[in-house]
Amino acid sequence: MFGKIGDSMLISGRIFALGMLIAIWIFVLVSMEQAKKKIPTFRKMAGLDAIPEMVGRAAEMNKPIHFTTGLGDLTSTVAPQLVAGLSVLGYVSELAAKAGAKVIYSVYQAQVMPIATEIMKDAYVRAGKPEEFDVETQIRYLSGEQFAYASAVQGIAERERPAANIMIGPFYAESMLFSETFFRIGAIQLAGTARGYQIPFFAVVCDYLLIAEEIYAAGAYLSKDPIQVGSIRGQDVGKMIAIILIVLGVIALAAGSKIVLDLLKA
Amino acid sequence: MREKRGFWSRLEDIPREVLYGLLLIAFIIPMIKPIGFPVPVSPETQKWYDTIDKLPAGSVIMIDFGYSGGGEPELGPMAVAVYHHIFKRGGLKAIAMSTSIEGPLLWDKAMAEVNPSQYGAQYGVDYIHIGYIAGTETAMAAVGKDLRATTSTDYKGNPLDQYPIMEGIKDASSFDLLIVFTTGGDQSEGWVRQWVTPYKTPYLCSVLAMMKPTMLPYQKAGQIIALTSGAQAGEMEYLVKVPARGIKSADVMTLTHLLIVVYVIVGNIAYYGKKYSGG
Amino acid sequence: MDLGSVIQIWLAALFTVWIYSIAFRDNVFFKFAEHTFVGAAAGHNIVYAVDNIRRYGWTPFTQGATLYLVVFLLGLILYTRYHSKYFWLSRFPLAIMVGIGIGLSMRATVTAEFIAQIISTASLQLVGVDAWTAFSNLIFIIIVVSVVYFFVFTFPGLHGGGRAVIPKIARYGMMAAFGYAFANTVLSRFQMIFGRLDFLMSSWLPLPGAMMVLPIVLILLIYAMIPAEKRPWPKSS
Repeated sequence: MFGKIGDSMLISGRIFALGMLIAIWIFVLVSMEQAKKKIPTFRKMAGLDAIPEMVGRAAEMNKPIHFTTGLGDLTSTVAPQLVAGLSVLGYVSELAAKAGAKVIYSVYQAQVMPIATEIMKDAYVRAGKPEEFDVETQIRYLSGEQFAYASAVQGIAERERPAANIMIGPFYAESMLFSETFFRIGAIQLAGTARGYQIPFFAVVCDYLLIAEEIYAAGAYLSKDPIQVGSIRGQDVGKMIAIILIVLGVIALAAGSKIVLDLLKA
Repeated sequence: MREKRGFWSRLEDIPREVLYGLLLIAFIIPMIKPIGFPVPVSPETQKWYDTIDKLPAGSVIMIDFGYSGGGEPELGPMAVAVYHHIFKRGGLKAIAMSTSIEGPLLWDKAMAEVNPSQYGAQYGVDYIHIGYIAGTETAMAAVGKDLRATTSTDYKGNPLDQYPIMEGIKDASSFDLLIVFTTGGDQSEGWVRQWVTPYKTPYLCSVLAMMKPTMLPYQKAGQIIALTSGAQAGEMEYLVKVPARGIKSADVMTLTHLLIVVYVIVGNIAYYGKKYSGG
Repeated sequence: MDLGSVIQIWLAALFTVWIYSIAFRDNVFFKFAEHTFVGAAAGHNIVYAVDNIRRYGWTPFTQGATLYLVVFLLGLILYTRYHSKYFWLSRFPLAIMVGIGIGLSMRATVTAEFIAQIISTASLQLVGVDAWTAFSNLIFIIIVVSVVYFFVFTFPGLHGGGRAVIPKIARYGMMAAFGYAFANTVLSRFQMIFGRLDFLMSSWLPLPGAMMVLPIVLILLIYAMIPAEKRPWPKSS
């Protein structure tokens, strides 16, 4: 009953979207090039500033730091969140190695294991303590099933009582189970996810929070990777265009003109 | 002064065992002795009901039975009520698939509850389940582009060609309505990206209450016709006139939520009491 | 009721009670239930993984779709990551998977999540509607614009000085939204608890013997919650 797509190269109703997509691509590419020469300055993110304090506390208490990137998946839309989480994992591991605290990384998806291993190994090398990195005890594959993974993480919390818990990545229904459990055992917590559904739980229970896209910015900022940084910069331009379009659209509509809306629907 | 501070601190730190214990009592009392609070029907549930009710005879519905076991208590009653409606209304073809691995198992459970034969509905003629299709958005896109190339069997492994319901079903354009029951945001949003945007398939979406705020912008933008949460199953049961778990839970939800309001008030009193009594 | 269903209900009921017991305190029954669940879920996933290969790969391959050979090869190459020398090969199938996944989800993202949302906000009327609607629309527009503003990261000047009020409005707006979402979550979770309690009360307890076993299960649970050093036996769990 619905028309097939693919009859024409340009489909009415999607032309402006195509234009925007191309424009954002260009912004991102240009920003990546610029970032190779000079990394732009980022605005302050309170959640990030808390990490050294968390690591220090764990080292003082001689307790581990638990890290999870949630139900990260390398093949879907949540992959960038996982990548952001892994960037933070590298940073935390390096700080922890320097301070003499142990990081336990709970793995949900087996594909992530080798990547995480590389990242942590590099971090320990950067800290000058490669011999202290122990893959067996620090990177743990728990389960590829959501609630089984959640139970296992809760188990680690109850049994090993980490001093800090850092959760950055795509989180689902397990977010509350994690944050509640770690809150109960007295761990200091930093959480961040771009999955809107779960931010409220983190906001309520955790000590520090990275809200939604702040995790991408955090990942890019910590990794100093021009590709990540450039993509954040390019998207920023896209967001500013969105703001301008909304404001212009609202003003035009109030003045009785649908010119902006018609343009958007072109 | 010191005594007072002790009191406020104790009030702020009531042991969770006590809080959970009281909550458990608030759950059990109305289950044993129902109070019978009214179940008002919200506009979105009514819109959902009307959308299915007004479908022309012979319409084909794609149903993503995409919730996980954990979400069954909430979304199960809703899915059951909607299936009752589809069968009661008659003349509709309901083709289900699952983007969640537990979907087919839970679909069996739901069908046992619905008992389609009471409406004269037959498996393979009026309804079918084509199985769990892995890949989430990849699965949606693949089924939308070419259903037969994605799967050639139903969830029991029998060839789709042997079922009359599958005659003429090729891709997303063969469907007149999309209904999604899911506990996953990737699913509820993925269908907008993979079916609603490219094929303009009308979309009814039922998610966990906790997911509703995030899905509301899609409804506001007209991408979802009606958005309900599983917690509204009672309303659907009322409209379809098959009272079951949803209506039964209404009393329990009201009473337990009142208790939570009390907890919030007590927590705030304790917080400010502690603050103004000198820390 | 057949014996299979009875056993199923008994197991489901016992596991429900054991898993929920963590709300009160960690205990050996919770651990047992937790580990069983992890194992069962792993088993279930393996069965489905094998079935998926059979249904979506092997069957079409045996029916003449020879191109699936490439897919199988790529799948096998994924396992080279366990080889110390050829681990790099596994990056190719991974790259393909990531590419397909992101490409597919991107194809409609701009229309569905960018343009459609801008249209939906820019369509809000501020004049020609009743005062209350105009007010709600205005609040909506202010919050949307300020929240988008909040997420601009690489222009720190936008967040300094007098302009800092905009991200502040965004924060309040988001916190209100989080509160709304959180309340909805309480509803969701309570529905889940209700579902399990309803199952215990209407499916398990009416079964013969269940009413007698329930107190025993509860007593054992409470005993298991007593810290190991404070109970007479066993000393550690």
